[in-house]
Amino acid sequence: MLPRNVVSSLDFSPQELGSLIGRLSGAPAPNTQTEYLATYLQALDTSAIVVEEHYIDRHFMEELASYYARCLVQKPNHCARLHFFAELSQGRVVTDQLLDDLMRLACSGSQSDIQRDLQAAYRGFIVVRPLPSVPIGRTALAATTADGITATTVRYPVHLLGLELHVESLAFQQQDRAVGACATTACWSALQRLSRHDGGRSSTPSQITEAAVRHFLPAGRPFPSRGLTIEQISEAFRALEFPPLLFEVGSRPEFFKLRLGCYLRSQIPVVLALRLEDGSGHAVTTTGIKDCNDDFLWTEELGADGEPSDLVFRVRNCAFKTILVHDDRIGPFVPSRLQIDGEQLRIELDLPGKQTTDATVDLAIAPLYPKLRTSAQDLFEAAVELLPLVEALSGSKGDVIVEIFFDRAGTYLASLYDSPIHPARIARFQRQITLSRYVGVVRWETPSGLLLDTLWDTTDMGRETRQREQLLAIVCYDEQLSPAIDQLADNEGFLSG
Amino acid sequence: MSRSKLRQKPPNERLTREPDGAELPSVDEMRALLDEGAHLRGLVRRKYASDRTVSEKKLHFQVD
Repeated sequence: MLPRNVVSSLDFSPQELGSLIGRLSGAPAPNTQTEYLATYLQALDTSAIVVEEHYIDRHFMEELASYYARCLVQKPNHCARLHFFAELSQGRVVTDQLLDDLMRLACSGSQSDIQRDLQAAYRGFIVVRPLPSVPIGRTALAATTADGITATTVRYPVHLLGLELHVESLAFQQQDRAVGACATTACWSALQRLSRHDGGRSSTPSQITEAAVRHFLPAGRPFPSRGLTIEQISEAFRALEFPPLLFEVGSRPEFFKLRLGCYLRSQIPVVLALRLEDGSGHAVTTTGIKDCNDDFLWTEELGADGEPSDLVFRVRNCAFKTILVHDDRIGPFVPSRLQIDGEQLRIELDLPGKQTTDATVDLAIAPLYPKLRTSAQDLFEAAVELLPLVEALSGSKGDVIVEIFFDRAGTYLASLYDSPIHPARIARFQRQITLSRYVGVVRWETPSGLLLDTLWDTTDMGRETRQREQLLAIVCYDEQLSPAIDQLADNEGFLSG
Repeated sequence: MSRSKLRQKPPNERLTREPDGAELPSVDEMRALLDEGAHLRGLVRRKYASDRTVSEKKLHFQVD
């Protein structure tokens, strides 16, 4: 019998969402993830759900092929997909009648207007798997942007009733222990961003588990999954073409925060290995950071053998307090607070119903584009190298604030058109500059405003001769510094803008 | 000041920061500051050398 879809709509409420997921998956009662998603959707002003009852999801199909197809009790190969809408223009709520009217209007030449109207109200989708114990499949809900949050997202195109919509999000799903542990789910979310951002096809959970256990299988069988070690997670990322950089909290939580802050500022998702109260391990993916205008006073006693060489400057990257994480125990974009406690870094995550849960951060795994060979630590050291020069140029010793991040060359160059730099300088710079695909940016400012950006080649490791080999350009925001920087650039061989 | 005018100036001519008239460092002074920075970077690199590695024990930590 040929498959047939049924598309229908209903009013949104948390109770309606819970009973709908129960009906479509066989789940006996709403779980924590469903409750979290209902609260999240309420915050997005959701007013209606549109249900596609027959939806083929590649990620579930591979789980089915690698595991469920060989179970005695068979599962269907399709899922259902729920789409969420806020009110349309003029306060209209999406109903079956309204959808019919809109499709008829689309037939008479108004398709693009209708898509625009629906798009403005579209809040994303949840794939409901036919798995009663873990019904929440691939879920892409509009990322939180309130309270100065910068979320790490990609664009998901969505086709519904022949109309094309999209949502800016990062996919989340509930852990299915059959084919992947929380670590697999955390890697999967990170790869959603990385693969799509760098032009590839995102990996499925079963592909990630297979890649993780291909060479390291200390704990027996790969399926059902019993969790992954850090070594296995690294191997999975490497095999899937995003070799990771690992760094641990160790005894320097501030330095860990600085490096984590650099990758979050660069919209690179990082998998955090957490230690829970009972000593067990858990993995989450960082998916956003709350913008912070504070800075952290970085003081370092470097003098050796009586040589006075103290380092004092302000760093933007480690002043943040709130991040967002995808936690498969809870949901997507979970607000979480980081707190340094002696030599430990604690994380407190929000649960539904104003409850919280906390853990200790142990280690970070940052999957990176293969040619992004410069680390956040290298970039920090590059900042230290230029500190005396920038202090002398700005005349503000001790007040200089630095921020380090990576950016795609095209995105960085496009951002210059919104800067206060003289258009003639920008035009000359754009004609002459050659950057690596990912550029390392060390941004300098003082309390009175932006000074300059130093741009670094990221396709090499940090070498002793770094400044002379890898400093590609200095972009001046402060016109007063331009003449001196131009002079230095002419003599040292980098470009100034 | 245009870039072409700058190129006509001797490399060590002092420039001033307008409008406060404060002197900016000459090219030689800026080079010396870069050397000072390279020295600082070397000290930081040594101090943070252990942060570039992850302990063997941590690699076997299982997350589930």
